[in-house]
Amino acid sequence: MGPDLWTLGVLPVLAAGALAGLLGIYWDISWHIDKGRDTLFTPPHDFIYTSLVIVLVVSGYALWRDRRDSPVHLRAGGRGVHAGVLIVAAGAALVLVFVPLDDLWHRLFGVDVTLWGPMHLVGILGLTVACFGGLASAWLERGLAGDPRRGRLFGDAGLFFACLLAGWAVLVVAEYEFMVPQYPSVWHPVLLAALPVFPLVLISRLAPRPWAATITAIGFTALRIAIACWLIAVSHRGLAGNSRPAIPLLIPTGLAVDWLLLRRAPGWLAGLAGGVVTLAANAALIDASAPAAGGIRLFWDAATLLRALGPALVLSALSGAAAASAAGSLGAGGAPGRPERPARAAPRVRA
Amino acid sequence: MRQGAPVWLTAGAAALLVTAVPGLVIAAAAPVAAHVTITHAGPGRPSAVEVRLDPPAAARGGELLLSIYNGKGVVNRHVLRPGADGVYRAAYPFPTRGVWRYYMRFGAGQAGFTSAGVASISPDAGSVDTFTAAFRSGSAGVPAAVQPLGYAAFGLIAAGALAGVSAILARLRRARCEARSGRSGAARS
Repeated sequence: MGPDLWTLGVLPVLAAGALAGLLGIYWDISWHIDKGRDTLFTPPHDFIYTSLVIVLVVSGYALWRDRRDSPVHLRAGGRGVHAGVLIVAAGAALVLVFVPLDDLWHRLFGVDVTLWGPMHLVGILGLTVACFGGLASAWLERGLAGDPRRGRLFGDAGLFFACLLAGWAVLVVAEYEFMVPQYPSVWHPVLLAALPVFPLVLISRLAPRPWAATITAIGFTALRIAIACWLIAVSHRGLAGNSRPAIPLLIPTGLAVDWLLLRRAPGWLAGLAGGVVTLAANAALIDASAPAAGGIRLFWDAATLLRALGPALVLSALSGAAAASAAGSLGAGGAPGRPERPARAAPRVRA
Repeated sequence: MRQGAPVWLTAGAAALLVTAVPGLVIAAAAPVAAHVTITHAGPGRPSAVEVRLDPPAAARGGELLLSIYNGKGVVNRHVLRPGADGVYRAAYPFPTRGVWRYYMRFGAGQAGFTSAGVASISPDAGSVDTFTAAFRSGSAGVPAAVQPLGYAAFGLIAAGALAGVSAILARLRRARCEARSGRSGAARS
């Protein structure tokens, strides 16, 4: 067996890239709201470009350098390719598609394009898929690690990627969090209920540590607080606007997902319950934090919630089922609720 | 052998795309204006803001984002739903006299309409400030079909990517099953 993806530097650099992209996009939205139009090489853009370049370079480097042969290395082109790295490469392919299409879209519509511009969505999807690839890679490496300490390192790396993946999932509703939505309000509860359920159910099934979904939700919250602190710090230097995104409450969702795992609930049910808890917790939080008059107010009224409920629950259940299925493919086989022990996978013997 | 991943991921992507379509409907045609009336209730009390679109059906009953701010830290920014008469109302405080900036938008994404400018505010009790704002289309002269085509392209790219990831996960599941059955076969023999 050759060096693993941590030794090759793939996982730490990919994690840094996913973090840089997330920070860059929130910073860029704040910049657009309060500072107006920007140029090609603003500080937030530099973070986003760094993220894009890292995903491209890391996937190519890992495909070139990782020469191991194991059950998680799929046969492609006469050699084994790490399945997690292949997923990162799929994200990189999306990034390659994104760059020219985004340029075309900005030439058509100018600088002020919504976050949900179709080509922006391609880029966000690419970085999200790459982040999911990082999580898959860390988990698969955990199974290959012979040393339990190494296994724990990969398990914790998987948790970190799960926090980042929750961040990327929630990023989609950032225009609502900044209170500058360009689409109907009903999409906010629908997407906020459904999207974070995927990383939470996935990591709860993989269970690198007990209560992994709750740890991930706490990590996500810490990450978003850190991004808010960054925005406050750079705004004092005139490098960001005053607008800050609201931070959604996902910790009760993490608790619910973990509790349902202990009850051996199927993935769709964990997803459904997670979606319900996210809606209830955030509706209460939004109401409690809303100013009486004026101010920047994000709110879901009863009519909005009622319209959102059906699609939110269906998508949450689908998201939970997809996460459970993905966890099954990644080898979350053990008894639900119990972390799988790191085990050395048998190296494939060459004929 | 189970191959749940592709089925669930594809179904999830399809559901997301299908439910996304209604939100992408394009809003009204130009020209559009808004007549804004702000009735002040006096110091310490929020003023009543009323926005009448012209033509009234321009937003087709959709929401209006109304931001009025003084550039010195006071920001009023809400998403408003139209009342029964098609008029948008809000209660915004205006603690200072002078020039305030406003930003309004309605419609979906690039096909939406925006208006930005300044208004002179005199927040004395009983006084009324009015101004008319002209909206401009965000489509920048690009044919209306381009935005839906862009989303269709995104849908295809996203479906392809999700199918690719699902295929990798399915192959991984198969490979692990084969490795496991190979190990148990070797143990038996």
